Amino acid sequence: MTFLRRLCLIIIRNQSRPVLQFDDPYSEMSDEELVQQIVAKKDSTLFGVLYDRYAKTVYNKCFGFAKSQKEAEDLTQDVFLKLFIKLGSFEGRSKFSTWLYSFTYNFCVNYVTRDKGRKISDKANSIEDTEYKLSSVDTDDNLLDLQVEKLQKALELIPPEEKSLLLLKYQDSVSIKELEDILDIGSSAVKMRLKRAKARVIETYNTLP
Amino acid sequence: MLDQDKNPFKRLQKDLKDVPPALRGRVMNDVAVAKLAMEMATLFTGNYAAVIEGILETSKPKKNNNQ
Repeated sequence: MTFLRRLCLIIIRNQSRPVLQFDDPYSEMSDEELVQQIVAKKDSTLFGVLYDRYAKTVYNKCFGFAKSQKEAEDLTQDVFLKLFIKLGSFEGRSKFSTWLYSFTYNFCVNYVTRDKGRKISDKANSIEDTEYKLSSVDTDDNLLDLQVEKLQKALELIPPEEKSLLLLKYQDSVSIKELEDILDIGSSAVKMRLKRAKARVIETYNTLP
Repeated sequence: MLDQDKNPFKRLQKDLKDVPPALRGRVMNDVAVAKLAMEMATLFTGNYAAVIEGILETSKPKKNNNQ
């Protein structure tokens, strides 16, 4: 009887023990360490761990540029394949997540503009047209009042390069310094691009019913 | 800086969609194929400089310890 009770207690104790460390032995490892090991060993099992960490975010970012679920799945699949090949080019100048989001947006922008690049350039206003409006979007305060659903529609209508820049800055909270590193441009150029993108999205937002 | 609670860009991603479970298998399959292709490629893109250096080294006359 005592033996049975002891056995039951052991079983219950084992079941109630947190199993996280057994499920994910890499939970202690940072993204950057994981990437280093994947690159060094070309380890596809470790790449699976990286996939598990970021699949949902990447999938939803791809969804923002795709027209259907199938398209979003294909985009995500291609992003991760290209990521495995290009992972060695991550230099660690920014956080891995920032680099990955930029990588994903670049891939999606290239995908979207591949076929309709010309249409976008025709639709887009010239820089001179928007220049006079830039002073009105110097602060971020006027972005606070935007309604979510309407903003989503406006983001679909602006050039995908500007959409990805706005998402990096305001959704993924990437700093100006990190944007400089990712885009390989100076601080003033980053700020100017952001101003233009903000002006464009607000202008588009205001034209929506 | 935007107040993060009121930031409409943050609120855009409140309703995140789940990734289809089958996608993981497709991705890992692609990765396995890519890994194989990369390993195969290394067979044909060897470090020729090191190979030639190796040949030259082996062709040097060895010292005879008995003399």
